[in-house]
Amino acid sequence: MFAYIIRRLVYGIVTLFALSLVVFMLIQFSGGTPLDRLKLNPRMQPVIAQLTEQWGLDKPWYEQYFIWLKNFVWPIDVPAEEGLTVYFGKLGVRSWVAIAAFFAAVGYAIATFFVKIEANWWRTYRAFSILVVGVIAFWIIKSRVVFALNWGESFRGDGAVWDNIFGAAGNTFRLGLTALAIALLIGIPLGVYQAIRQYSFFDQLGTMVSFITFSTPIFIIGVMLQLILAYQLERWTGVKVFYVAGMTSSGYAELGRGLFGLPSLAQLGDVVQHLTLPAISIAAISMAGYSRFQRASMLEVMHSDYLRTAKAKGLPRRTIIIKHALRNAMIPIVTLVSLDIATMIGGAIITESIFGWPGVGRLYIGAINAVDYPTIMAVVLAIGAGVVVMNIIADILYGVLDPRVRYD
Amino acid sequence: MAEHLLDVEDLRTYFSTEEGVVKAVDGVSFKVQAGERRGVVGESGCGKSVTAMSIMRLIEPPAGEIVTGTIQFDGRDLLKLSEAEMQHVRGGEIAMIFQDPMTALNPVYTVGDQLIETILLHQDVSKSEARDIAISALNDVQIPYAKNRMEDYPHQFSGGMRQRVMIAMGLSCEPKLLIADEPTTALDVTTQAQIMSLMLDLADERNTAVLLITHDLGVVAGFCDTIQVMYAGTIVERGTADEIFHNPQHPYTWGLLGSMTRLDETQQDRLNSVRGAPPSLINPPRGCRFGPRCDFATDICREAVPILHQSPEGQKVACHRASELDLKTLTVGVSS
Amino acid sequence: MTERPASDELVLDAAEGISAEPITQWDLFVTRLRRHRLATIAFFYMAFIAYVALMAPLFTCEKNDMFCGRQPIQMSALTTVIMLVVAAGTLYLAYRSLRSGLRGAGSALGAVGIVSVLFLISSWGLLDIPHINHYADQLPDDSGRILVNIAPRGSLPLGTDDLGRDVLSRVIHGGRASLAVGLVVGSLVALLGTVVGSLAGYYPGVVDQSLMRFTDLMLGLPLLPVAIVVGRVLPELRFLPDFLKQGAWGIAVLLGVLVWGSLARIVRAEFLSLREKEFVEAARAAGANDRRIIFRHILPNAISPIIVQTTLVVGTAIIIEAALSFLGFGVRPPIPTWGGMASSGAAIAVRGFWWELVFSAGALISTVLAINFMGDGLRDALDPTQTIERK
Repeated sequence: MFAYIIRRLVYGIVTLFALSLVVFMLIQFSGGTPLDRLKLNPRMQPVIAQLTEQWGLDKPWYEQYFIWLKNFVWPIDVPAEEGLTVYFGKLGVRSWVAIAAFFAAVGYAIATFFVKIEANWWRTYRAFSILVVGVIAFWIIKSRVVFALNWGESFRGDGAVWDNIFGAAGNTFRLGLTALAIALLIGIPLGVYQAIRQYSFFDQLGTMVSFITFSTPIFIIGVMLQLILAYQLERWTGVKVFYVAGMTSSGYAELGRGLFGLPSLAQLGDVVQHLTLPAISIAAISMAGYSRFQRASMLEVMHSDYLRTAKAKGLPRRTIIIKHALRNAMIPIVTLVSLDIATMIGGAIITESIFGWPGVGRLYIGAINAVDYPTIMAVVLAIGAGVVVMNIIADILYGVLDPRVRYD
Repeated sequence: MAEHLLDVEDLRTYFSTEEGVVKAVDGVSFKVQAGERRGVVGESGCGKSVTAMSIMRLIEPPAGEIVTGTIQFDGRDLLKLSEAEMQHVRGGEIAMIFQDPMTALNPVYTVGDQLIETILLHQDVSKSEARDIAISALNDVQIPYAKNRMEDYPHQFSGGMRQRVMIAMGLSCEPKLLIADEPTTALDVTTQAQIMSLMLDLADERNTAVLLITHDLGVVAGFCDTIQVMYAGTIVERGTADEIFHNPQHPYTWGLLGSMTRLDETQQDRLNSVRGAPPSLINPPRGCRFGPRCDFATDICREAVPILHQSPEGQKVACHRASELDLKTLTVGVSS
Repeated sequence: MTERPASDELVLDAAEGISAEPITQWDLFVTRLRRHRLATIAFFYMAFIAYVALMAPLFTCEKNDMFCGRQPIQMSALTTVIMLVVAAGTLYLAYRSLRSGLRGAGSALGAVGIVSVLFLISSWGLLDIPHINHYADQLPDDSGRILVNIAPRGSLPLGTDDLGRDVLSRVIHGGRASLAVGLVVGSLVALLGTVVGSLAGYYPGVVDQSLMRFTDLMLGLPLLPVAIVVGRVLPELRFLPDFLKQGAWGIAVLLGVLVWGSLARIVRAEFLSLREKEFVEAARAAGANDRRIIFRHILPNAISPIIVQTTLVVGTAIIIEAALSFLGFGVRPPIPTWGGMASSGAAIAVRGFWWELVFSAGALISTVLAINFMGDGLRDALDPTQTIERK
């Protein structure tokens, strides 16, 4: 399996390369530059000239691409801050600890592959050790404790792209995770129950609702939720139950402090009020897909031979469904979710625009409009990398759940 | 104690489909003694599997329904039991193994898990005791390294070995009756022979009655004491293996036997087969159901349904002309 | 001894209840399809929408058109409805006649042709049929003020938008964009996906590997972010011909090029399994070359998942195009599109002007729903081995 993961990573990197090249060329060939708006004002000429020189906008496109690429992937020196060091030569204790931890994790993960135990718990443990490697790698990159990547300065003067993205990514992650949780926690039981009570009114109603939800664009759902659950609700009850803009209200800081620097209960409540509607928007469509898929998967399992065997053994119905059927029916969902991640990200982009959620999506739209090269490239690649990683995680998970899977 | 282990009386199982009601089992009655080995033969669709599923009450409404009949097992009518009581019977007193061993075991649990599950369900033992019973069951079906193999998953076993596991699972709780629905059809011939001889030995040892369902006369010949031949949802002939093979009374049985290739016959150019195709079970033919395909059918065969009656030769047969015909003297295919 | 009957067929007949009538594949397919009520309705609905959208330019009046001016405005609603009902009825009859196979299809096309000619004639003003307003016209009332944000009434059955334009007309014309997307994406995906998938599935080794790597690449691209970038720059790309930059065609081609990957994978899987079947060996033994085997033997057996997946992808593509237009990166104004209308409709809905949002969203949802129902019905009708579901 290890070789398989390495192979997938390599494919992923190639994909990201191609992606970056395509996007870069597209923007170049459109002739749009970040300075278009400035050009409208004739007095900005000297500023335009300076920025053009600074950002290298007068160079040919392949040279611009190469400059960007070099900056993107080649680690640079970072001004030494508390705990932060620069690479190769001036590494401090923290960095060495991080490096050691990384290689130890890698060694351990590889070692687990030489122990051949065919059991559920061992495969879980092995998968876990691989994930630990991934987590350590991610932390090393993000905390810049061994080296730092420079993703440039935003052309809009917003600051370093790196900081912008990680700040926004955290918010998008919160939104996306909540949406995924909602979609899974509601969608899967719904699908299972539909399969158990096939042909019942509930089943047919559920199918109809799934179809309709699945055919509705996500922005319609978002807009409708805004209008009905936020504006109309407020008009009827006089209370602002759900918010439609941003992640926090303007009076957020005054809502108190919690323990150990964590947000207070009132602050959490505020975020939840802002989070609910956008999360539901993203979850709705995925939920429809999951429930339909789970229903089909469950039905297939319920007509399988081994379930007939279980019944012939005299097992009670509940045991059959929970222990035998469900365990098999849940396996394909993993693949579905991994395929769905890309769609959810798209949904997040749209939803963040509608609800003003300060996440990667909103950042991206703003960057597109302003032709902010560094931000656009960084966001596209971050999303692409995220999808690659999620797919690999899904494959690992699949290997844990299904003992028949072999990776060659 | 009841006279017979299993007493099926006028069993009728119907399925509702879009095209009509399929009378898969239409008036089947038979008795099986303790320790007896009964073979049930017939073409695909003659109702033999449905009969077995009906005994185990595995027919799911609303698609299928046991319309009428009684199934006396060890003194109780199975059709009158509650679902909970029936679950007790299934696996514990009557065990059933199915045709396709490749898909009969749950792929995500080890073989050991599935065996132990059955044992714990029907016997009052601790988990470690159940484990020991499982290992000894695997030994009985001649699976090597049984102790280690308990931790293996079904996909790590070959087809023949999975079927052995199924047999082990079926016999582990010492049932009084084992129903085997085409247990060797999906296996190659050598494995077939091994499995059949294994089942023979085990059933003998424990005095377990076996209801063996198959379309393969060769399998039945080496294994069964008595045989019943089914056609289009009814039993057309029933007797000992000797009677059936050497002196068939029903034209269908005669046709089936004639269609087997035999080493002791002179070579022929073509295989004989029973001409025509099985009838529709929604709208069965009037009179004898085998009539349209029978070389010996006369007017009475088209009018009246023949009843299973005792023939002077020894077996029971359902044919109007059984007493007139002397089938064992005829060569199949030369009827006209 | 009784005589042996002449043939087995007679035996079967005598056994009652078995039909000896030959049934063709097409009959089976149409019977199963018609059993699926929702798919039948959906199919009819889609044909209707497509027809209306196609004919729209013929019965839209330009501003200051003397024919528009001639009719009092309150005629347009009622007679528009009559005209649409006539078109619907004709299509329905055409659909019914499809049952009789290709001959039926011919008469169906004939009926459609007649109605189309009627519309053409009317557009020359020779026949006085009602028109709808142009989608970009800002409608004035009697005193010359623009009818902004008028609620649905009489001659304006769907109201007007923030700029005083007829929402009915915009919804009808917006349909053209969505349907163009559907058509182009459907064709592109079916073509690219089938070609790549069949070649990869049939020729193992280098061909398979390289084609699938390429497909994986395409599948690895995050769809919406890339679509947004291209959508943003599309009108400004210098090397593209004009027609691709205007309207929905460019977006349609873009989407088609991005989403064919899933179909390629499915087709490849089908070909991998079908390639091993005996009928392929038999065809090869009979002397068929590769091309013949692929097109005449394997492909017809793989049709079912191709059609089903293509319908699914078309529905998704229409939604994505709407999303792009909603965000402003799709079809640019003043060409109406349902997504764009939803966007401006949402902005004014807070003030109580609900009609633009509701009708554009309704058109969008109903169209995609119909496509999904059709896909579902087609899948049921084409694949007899599925788990049986009672309807």
